[in-house]
Amino acid sequence: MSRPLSERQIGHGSLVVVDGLNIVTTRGGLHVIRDVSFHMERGEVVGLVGETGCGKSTLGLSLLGFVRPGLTFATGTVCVCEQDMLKATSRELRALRGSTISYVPQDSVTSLNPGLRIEQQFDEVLSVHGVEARGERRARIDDLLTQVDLPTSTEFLRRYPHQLSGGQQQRVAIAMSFACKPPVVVMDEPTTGLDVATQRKVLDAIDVLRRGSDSAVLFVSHDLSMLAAFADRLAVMYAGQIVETAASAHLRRRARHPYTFGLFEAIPDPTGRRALVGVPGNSPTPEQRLDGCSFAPRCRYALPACRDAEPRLTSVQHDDDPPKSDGEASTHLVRCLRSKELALLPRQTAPSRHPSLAGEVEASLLIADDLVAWHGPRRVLDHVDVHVPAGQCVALVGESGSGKTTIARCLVGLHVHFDGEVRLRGRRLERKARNRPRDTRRLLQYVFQNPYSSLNPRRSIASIVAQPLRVFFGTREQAARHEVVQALASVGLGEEYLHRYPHELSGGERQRVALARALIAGPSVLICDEVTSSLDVSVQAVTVDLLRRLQVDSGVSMLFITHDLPLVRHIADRVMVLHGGRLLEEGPADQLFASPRDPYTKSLLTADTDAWTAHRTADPPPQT
Amino acid sequence: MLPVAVIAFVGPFVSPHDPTDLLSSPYASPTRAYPLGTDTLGRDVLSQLLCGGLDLLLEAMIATLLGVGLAVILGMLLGTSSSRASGFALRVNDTLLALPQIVLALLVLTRIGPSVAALVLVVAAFHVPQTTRVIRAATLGVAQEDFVQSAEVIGMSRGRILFFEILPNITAPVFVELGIRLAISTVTLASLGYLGFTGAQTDWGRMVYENQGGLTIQPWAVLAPAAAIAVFLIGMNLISDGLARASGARGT
Repeated sequence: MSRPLSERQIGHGSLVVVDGLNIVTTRGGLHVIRDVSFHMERGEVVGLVGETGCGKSTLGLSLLGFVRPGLTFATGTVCVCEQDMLKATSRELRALRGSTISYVPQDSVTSLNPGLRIEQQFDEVLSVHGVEARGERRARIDDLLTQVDLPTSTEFLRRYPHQLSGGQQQRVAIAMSFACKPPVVVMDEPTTGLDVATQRKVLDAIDVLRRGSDSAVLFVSHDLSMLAAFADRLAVMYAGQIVETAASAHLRRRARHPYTFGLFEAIPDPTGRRALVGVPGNSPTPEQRLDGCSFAPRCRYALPACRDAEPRLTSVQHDDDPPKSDGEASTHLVRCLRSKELALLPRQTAPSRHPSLAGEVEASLLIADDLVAWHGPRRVLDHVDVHVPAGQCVALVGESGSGKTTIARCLVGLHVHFDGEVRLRGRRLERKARNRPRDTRRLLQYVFQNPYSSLNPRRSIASIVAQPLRVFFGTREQAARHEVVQALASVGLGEEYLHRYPHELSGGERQRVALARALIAGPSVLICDEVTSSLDVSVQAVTVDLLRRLQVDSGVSMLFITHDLPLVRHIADRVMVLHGGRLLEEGPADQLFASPRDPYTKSLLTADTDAWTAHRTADPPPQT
Repeated sequence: MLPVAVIAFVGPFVSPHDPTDLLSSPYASPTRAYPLGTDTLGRDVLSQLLCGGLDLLLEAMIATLLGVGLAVILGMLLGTSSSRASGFALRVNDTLLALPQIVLALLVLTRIGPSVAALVLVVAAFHVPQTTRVIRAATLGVAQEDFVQSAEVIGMSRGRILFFEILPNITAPVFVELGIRLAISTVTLASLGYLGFTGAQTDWGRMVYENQGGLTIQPWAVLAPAAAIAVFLIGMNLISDGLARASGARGT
């Protein structure tokens, strides 16, 4: 049934063949990529999915024969179009990159040269790879831009990158990567940081282009739900290894590796039928990797044997599989000792929580009336009312630029250019935080979006968490120790964190520290601004669960700001939908999810990946 | 760097002769008694070299600490405030930047006379406009970080935010500034000494000035103090780079 990988005839005649690849750090020889083998066929989209630091970007770049400074190829081969990328000279590599294999980096803002016009950027790529005639170049540019649904006017071509929106820049970068019709394209998180509608446009553009040039695409992303819909085949990476690979449709239904189905369970379910289950713990860094299965410390199915020997990537077959027409394409490989038994275990399907406290608006603790806010001369909020009832969680949902963070900043007194009234427990608040009475500041706590910026890198965790106590009660850091330990415990962090510094912590841990800092003040309203958006999906699920528990236990009211409507389902009692600075819809969560009134809300609800899949199959893009 | 500092600080105690004694004929070549020869008035160059560094380096250090200290405070204030007063202060600062500073220094020193205190204050003031600019830029970057805003939300006092939240995060540019400014202080003081403005009997800048006439006859009287200054400057720059790297690497 299962055979070791080495016996398999892996990818003979494949477009891309990676075999036994190991990438190590030059200092210390730590494995960043461990024993990775995979192959890609012509025209195939392979999704490489994994969380921060698992080595997916490093693996993606290795296809171009590149490693970051500080890393080095140890063993293994990378062949692209029968060319050994690791043995090629730098001159050969230069010729191959762009024409045979191209790369789309994550951040289009930095990948496009800000000093060159769009046309010049394209010209550069095309002329380097031998398209000399000016007319021919222009025709090719027009063709590419049409395919990614951008204007081809001379005016557009003469723009600089900063005159384009983020989505447009990303589409230009993607079009450029296809400029020489390369057989292989590597994309590193091309849709990360874009809102749902833009993301869909970018995916459409990729789809049209890759069909046009019949290219194989290696799509690197942390977004499993998007990839499962977009890619033909998925490879799940954990701690530098591929732990599972299978056809996307297949993997969605029968993931065998505990990490893979942990990832699927951590994705917010827009229908809210299923509880959000996170994967506890954090991915190990290269220094922390132990013997045995690297996922074992976080795995709820781990056996003692899992910690002894590293499982090999083995092929699994399902008894109820239909006879295979194409043996290679439907191969399902798993790196888990218990893959066979786990397929038979019932999957944990806890019902979604829904205590649904029917709250009355008049009991609102925090009220903002008729908020109109400006950024300079630009009006970003247009007569918005916010009510946060006691003991409830109100979600404020909107895309980037909808003004949701501005609302939060007005409420806590960081943004002062606004009209309207903010009241806490019926008492009117000053605009500026500094001018508000101490008790008011204490009762209204704010947790910032980015845990990498919200903790002072020069202070220990103990000192950071103790800070509000000092400001509000004058408690000295030593005296506050007991309370700090309690606050850390309430967010699931032990005493050993007291003397660490923020840079020693992962994103999820940092966000817990930020949360502990807010909770130690004893707030009655907690404002959480996109607190999960910079976290990995497995950690996001754990954090949302923690927030929900804290909210229920302590009875604190919460204003939960997010762009992720499905996520809201798992935490909010009431939902407010914001668009372009206006409040479009507001109501109890159940009601709003069951029957959204506003078309925009409906579009947000259907913007999940199932809808995207439907859209893709129903309306195949024209072949060009 | 270290040898130069040792010479400067220990030199006065081991100096073989009183640096002001007229011992021999002017511009005598090095002999056993006077290993670096004598200067324009017949004083021992070695003794002058050993004694001439202390005042110069002490003055430079005090001037640097004063100037950079004041500039750090000003820079942090200007970097965190958007009031009209701070805008005005910034323009005044820019205006000062545009004026030729050594000429201003000479003007002031000519008016009030070259006492040690005046020299130190003038050199310290010399640093303030530029360093303020640098520190303000560094502060602007840190002040946007969420942890500073978080401190504002809970109502931490402005002084505490500056001192406990921002200052620890701009130590790297502060160290770089200290190093550069110490070097510039030394050069400025030596230059002022060369131009005749010095509070000390003997200093390296003055030695260069006094003995330049005999450069061809007795080069040591000029080369020795010049080399001491040069080695000190290079060493100072290396140390400040190292400090900046060490303090910058920790937090990130």
